[in-house]
Amino acid sequence: MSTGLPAAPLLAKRRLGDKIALALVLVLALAPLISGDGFSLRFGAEILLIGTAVMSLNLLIGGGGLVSLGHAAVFGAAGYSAAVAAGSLGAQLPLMLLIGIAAGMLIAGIMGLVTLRSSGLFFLVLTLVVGQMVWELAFRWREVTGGADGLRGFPKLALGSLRLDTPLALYLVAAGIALIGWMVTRSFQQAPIGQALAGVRDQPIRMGALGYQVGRIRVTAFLVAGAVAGAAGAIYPFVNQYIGPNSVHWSMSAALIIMAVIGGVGSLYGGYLGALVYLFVQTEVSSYTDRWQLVIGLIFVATVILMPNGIAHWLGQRGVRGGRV
Amino acid sequence: MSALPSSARTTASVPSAAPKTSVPSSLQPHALLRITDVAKSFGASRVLESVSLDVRAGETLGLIGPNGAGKTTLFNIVTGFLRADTGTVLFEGRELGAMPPPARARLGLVRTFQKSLVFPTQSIRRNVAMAVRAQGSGAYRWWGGRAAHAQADAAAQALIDGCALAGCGDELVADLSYGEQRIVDMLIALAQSPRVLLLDEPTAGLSTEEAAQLLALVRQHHAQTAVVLIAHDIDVVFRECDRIAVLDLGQLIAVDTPEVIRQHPGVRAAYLGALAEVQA
Repeated sequence: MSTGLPAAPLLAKRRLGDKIALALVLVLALAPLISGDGFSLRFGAEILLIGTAVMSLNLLIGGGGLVSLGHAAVFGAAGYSAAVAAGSLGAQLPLMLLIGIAAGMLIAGIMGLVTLRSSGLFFLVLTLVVGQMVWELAFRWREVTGGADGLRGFPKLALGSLRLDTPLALYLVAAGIALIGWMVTRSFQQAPIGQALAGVRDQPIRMGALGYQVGRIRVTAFLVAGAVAGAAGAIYPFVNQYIGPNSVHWSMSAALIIMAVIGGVGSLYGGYLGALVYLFVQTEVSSYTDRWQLVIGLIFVATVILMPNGIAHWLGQRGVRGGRV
Repeated sequence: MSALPSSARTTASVPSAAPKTSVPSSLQPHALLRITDVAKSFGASRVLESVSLDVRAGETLGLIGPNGAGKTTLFNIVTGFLRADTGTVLFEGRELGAMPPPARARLGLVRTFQKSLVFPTQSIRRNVAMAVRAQGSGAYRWWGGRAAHAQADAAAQALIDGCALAGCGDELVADLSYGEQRIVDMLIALAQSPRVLLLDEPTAGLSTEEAAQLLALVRQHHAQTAVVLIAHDIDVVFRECDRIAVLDLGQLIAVDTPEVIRQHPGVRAAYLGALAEVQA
């Protein structure tokens, strides 16, 4: 038998991933006690919501090898749907989540069906096209979406008579969505359907020969990713009481991919790390210079060279080597 | 193949009593898989020309011919990865028509590929379990996955324990040698409970010892399965197969027992003679 990785380190690595994720959850839960100012909490909520969208994208990229350049359309369409619906139906949390999840699943489902038989570059271009169609709708349908100006002035988030528009409430809602989204995505990845998705990523032809319906697996993954991204997207407009066409633009999709790569493709909590790094640089560096994207680019290049599998995997490897598991 | 039931051996030996060299002799009564008048072209290139062939339960049928003869194309048509231009494929008397590959696989039409198509990032057990789950209703399950995993893992482990990789179920497939990966590839196919097992050059690139291990593994699970074997190693084909079909330039030029095929003038001219010259 050739020399291979024994099972123990593999399991250890997996357990370490869970421990890091748990530590991340604890830090996020305690963050309001450390820094309770409104800006930080809203910023934290934004990181959690966009991090959830990146995690759902990671389900497609890392889990299924499906690099989508239209995922912002899924996330943003949920945000627009919730904001528009809030104007006429009120901004009750369960309703907003329901509408966001439905919108996210609809756009992701369409994307999954359109790209059913494509892979590689064609898959990338098709997701880009579907995403840009959503952007076109958001940009041109001025009466509903506000066009280039976006939407403002919609009701603030609430749960019954309880107002959820304070920074702390929004942070807690975002943390709850991040936690539930992580649990849903993790359970999907570990279930037979998630294993089948990994099989489609590695050997799509063999999966067909085994009797798996590859298209069904891919569309299911799109729907789950759409539901998770949709739940996060539904709350996103309420953080700053604004949503604009940039949130559905392809450049936002590219930013989500960059966050996934920096955080770690295939790692669920890596999505949050990637969102943290990206949004921190965007917020902090942009206060000094307009060229903050140059810094992002440098970080991206440095990550690819020094930590080719992203921050999460780098942390995992260090933990296993150091025997800290 | 030594593990063949005696009845199948008797049936397989019938053609040798009355040597048959024409195409119609390839159609046999009680065929498990019947290929009739199948033709396939890619543009102006005619790859298969009115090929008719039967495969019976329990037999091992060799499929040989020079490169480009149409052997893999025939596999692709039988398993649904390609549509034939004309002709039919019947499995247990049922025409498969436009049935897609996954549905054919679930009927028991199982194949391997020229390349070893394994799942490198997963353990040997998870590789085999992937095939086990595909046969049941839990393949797409989300909730209650732990029980589905446990069942599939147990079935996979039983298969692994019966081969040269026993005790290595947790090893990552990416860390295995090529020969070991071919065994995993074969375990995956066997885990699909095949009725007809189509093996596309399974021993290519293997050492004599590794090839013997692989073929022994097939023999262990052969009793209820018909095997169609493409191989360029003529010794393997003549030793392992009950009947041999010979394709040349898309045409089936002979189907018969190894003894008859060895002496067949058309086969010697098209394939065996050339091969002997190359070997010399």
